[in-house]
Amino acid sequence: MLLARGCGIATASRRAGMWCARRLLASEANKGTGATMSGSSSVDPREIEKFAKRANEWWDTGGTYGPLHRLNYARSPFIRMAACDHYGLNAEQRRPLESLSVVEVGCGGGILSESLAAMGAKVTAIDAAEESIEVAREHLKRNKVVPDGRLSYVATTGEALASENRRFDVVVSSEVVEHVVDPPSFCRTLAELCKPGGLVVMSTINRTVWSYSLAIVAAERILGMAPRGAHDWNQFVTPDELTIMCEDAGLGLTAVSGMRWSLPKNQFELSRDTSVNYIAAFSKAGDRGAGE
Amino acid sequence: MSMRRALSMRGAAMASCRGFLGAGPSATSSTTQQDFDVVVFGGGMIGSALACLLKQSPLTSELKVAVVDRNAPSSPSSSIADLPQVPDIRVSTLTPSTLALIDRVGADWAIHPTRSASFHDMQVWDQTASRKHMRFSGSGEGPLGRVVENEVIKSALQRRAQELGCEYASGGVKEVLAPRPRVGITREAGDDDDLCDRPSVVFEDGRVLSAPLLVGADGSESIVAKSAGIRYEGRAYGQRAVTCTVDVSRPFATAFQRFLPTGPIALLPVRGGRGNIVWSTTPEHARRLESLGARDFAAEAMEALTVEGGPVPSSSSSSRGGGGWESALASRASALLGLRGGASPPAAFEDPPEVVSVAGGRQRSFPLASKHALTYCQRGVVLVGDAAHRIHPLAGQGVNIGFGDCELLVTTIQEALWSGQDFSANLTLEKYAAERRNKNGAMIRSLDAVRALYQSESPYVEAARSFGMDLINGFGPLKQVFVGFASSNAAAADIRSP
Repeated sequence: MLLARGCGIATASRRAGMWCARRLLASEANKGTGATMSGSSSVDPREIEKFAKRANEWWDTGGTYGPLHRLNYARSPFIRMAACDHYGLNAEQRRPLESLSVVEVGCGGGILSESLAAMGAKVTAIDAAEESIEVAREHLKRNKVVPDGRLSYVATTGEALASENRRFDVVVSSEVVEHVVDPPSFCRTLAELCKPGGLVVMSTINRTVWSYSLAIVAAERILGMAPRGAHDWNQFVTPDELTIMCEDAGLGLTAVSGMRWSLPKNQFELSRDTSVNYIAAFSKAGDRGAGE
Repeated sequence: MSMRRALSMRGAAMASCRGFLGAGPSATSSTTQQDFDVVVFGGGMIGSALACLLKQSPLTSELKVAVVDRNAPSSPSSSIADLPQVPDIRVSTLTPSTLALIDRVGADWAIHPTRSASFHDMQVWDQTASRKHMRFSGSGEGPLGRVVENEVIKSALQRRAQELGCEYASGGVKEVLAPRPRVGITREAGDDDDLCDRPSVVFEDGRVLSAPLLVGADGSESIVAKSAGIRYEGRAYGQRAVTCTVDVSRPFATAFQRFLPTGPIALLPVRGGRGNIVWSTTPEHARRLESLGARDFAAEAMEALTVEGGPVPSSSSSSRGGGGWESALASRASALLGLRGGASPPAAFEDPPEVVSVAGGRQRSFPLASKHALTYCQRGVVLVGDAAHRIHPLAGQGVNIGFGDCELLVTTIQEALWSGQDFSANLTLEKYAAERRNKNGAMIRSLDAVRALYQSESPYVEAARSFGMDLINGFGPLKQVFVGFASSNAAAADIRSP
C-alpha cells in the first residue's frame, strides 16, 4: 500500500514538475528584485528579531507555527523523492537518506530539520536567530524521531558557513527566501553550499492574488493563524523568479510542485497548483566528487 | 494570546506527566524496563491483526512491536488439528476486504474452508407476509463473506504476529500509565505537545513496557481508554442477543437475516455444515429463550425464521395488488446505487433450512449496546476496534470495522514515517482518529436507522410498513450497513424485490 502511495507522490511531483518547467520556459516575466545589497549577509535583522520573539512557540503544533508542522507532510516527501531520484536511492526504506549530508538554511525551531534527520540524513541545521537554535536544541534532546548524532544545530548564517568551505550533498531552505533582504544573493549562497552535482531544494510562497488572500488576508488578518506582519507580500517570489535567480547562481530546475492546503485532511499535500505554496528542486552542475 | 492556544493548554497534565516519569526510574531500578516503538494493549483479533500489519508493511516493518495480553498467545508450533467438533458460539462474519487483509498478512490458515464457512448470498426480509426481500449475491469470483470462530481468527493472527517478530508479553497488568488530557488554562512558554508523552504498561511482576505509541485494542471495557481519560457516548438498546450453534436440516451458503418487531434474527452458516443463530430481542424474551431446551429453542427459532407474522403465502403478487411501481422504484434505486440487477429477473426467495437442535453448549445471551469513543487518540494513545466503538451486531460489521481501523492506522503511521514525522504525535494520530471516527459514526447511525425502521412503534412507520414500503425506504441505510459485503471487487450486490 505504501509503495503505491510513495509512487503516487513521486509521479505526482514529477508530473507537476514537468508541467511547471514547461510553463516557466514559456514565460518571459522577470521582475527582478530591486537593488542588491552589498553586504555579505542576506539576513534582515528585523526579520530575525521577529522570529526570535516567538521562538518558544516553534513546537506548539496548535499555535503560530502549526501550519509549518502540517507543511511537513508535503515538503518532506518532496525532498525524500527528489533526493532519492537525484542520488538513485531506494525511497521505500525507512531512512533512505543515510548516505547524504544535508544543510538546512533558516531552520527556525527545527521543524523540518528533525524530519530530514528522521529520514536518515546527516543534517546540519542553521539559523541566524540564537533563540530559535536554543529552542531547536532543547527539543532535539527529547524528540522521538531523530537517530542519535544525525542532527546538529549551529547559530550562523549561510554565508558564514559557505566561507568556512562547508559543502553538502543536499541544501534545503524552506519558507526562507521570502524573508531575506537579497534573494539573488541568498540563492548564490545556497548554490555555494552545494557540492558539484548536488541538489538544492527551496520552498516558498508565490506572489499571486491567491497567496495574498490566503497568506495575508485569511491567515494573518482573519484567522490569526500567523502573526500580523509575519509576511510581506511584496517579498514573495514567483516560481519564474526563483528559477531565474537560481539559474543565475548555476542551479538548474529539476522539479516543481505546489503544496496545497487540504481542508478535510487538515494538512498540506503535494499538488499541481503552485499558486500559493510551492517547492522546487534544482541541481548544481558538475561531477559528484568526494565531498565534505 | 489566541483562543486556540488558550484551549489547548496544559496544567494538571504536566503534573501527571512528571508523576509517572518520576516514578519510572525507581521502578526500573528493581525491575526490567523494555522499550518498543509500539505497544499494542490487547492481543485479540484486532490487536494481533494490527501487530501483523505493522510488521508486514513497508516502513512500519522496521518498528519494534510488543503485544500485551493477560493470556499467553497460541504458540506458532501448536497443533492445528485440535478444533472442537462443534464450532464455538462466538463467531465473526468477515467481509471480503477483511478476508483480503487476513490473507495479505499470511494468516489465511484461519479462513481455510475446513475452519470456516463461506456464504455466497445474503437474504434480508421482514415479518410482513409479502415475501418482499433483498438478496445480495457474490459475483462468483469469491464468497460474499465467511463466518469464522473468533478463537480461530485470534490464534491464527497471534501465530503469524509472532512469526513476524512481534513480542508477546502476557501476565497480569498492574497499571497502564498514559498521559492524561490537558486541563486548565495556563501553559508554560516553550511547553510543547509531545515531549513527555511516553505511555507505559506495568505488569504485576514488575516488568515495564514502554513505547511512544500505546494502542488500545482491549475491547469495549478498555483500560487504555480509561487511563488516557477518553470518554464514550452511547446507549443501551434495552435488548439482549441470544446466540448458539445449531444443527440444521441441510448445509447452506446463505446468510439469513429476518427483521422481527422484537429485533432481527440471523442464521449464519458455520463450519461442519452447522448454523449459528444470533437473535436480538427483549430481555424478557431472551431470558425465556435461554431457559429452553435444545429442541424447544430450535423450534422457536424456526418459527421466528418462517411463520411469525403470518404464514408466507406462496404467491407474492397477492399482497402487492397490481402496483408495479414498487419494483420499478426498487430497480431505479438499485440503479442509482450503482448496483447490478435492476433489469435482471428477481432472485427467488430461499427458505432457510430447518433448525433441528442446539448443538454443543447451551444458548447464551449478551446485552446489546452501542458505544463510541469521543476521540480515538490522546497524546501517545490511540484506540482501535471495540475499544473505540461497539456496535449493534445486526450487520456483523463490528469486527470488520475494527480491521478497517487497523489498516488506516498503519497507513497513517507509514505516512508519518514517509514524511519523517513523529508517528506518535497528536498531529499524526488525529488524522486517523478524525477519518475513522467519522466513518464508524456513520455506520453506527445507519444501524440505528435500520433498527428504528424495523422496530419503530410509531404509528406512521407502522402504517408505512403495512403498505409494504419498508424495504424500499430502508434501502439507503440498509445498503450502508451491508455495503462492506456488497462493495468489494469480489462481490457484486444484487438487491431485488419480486
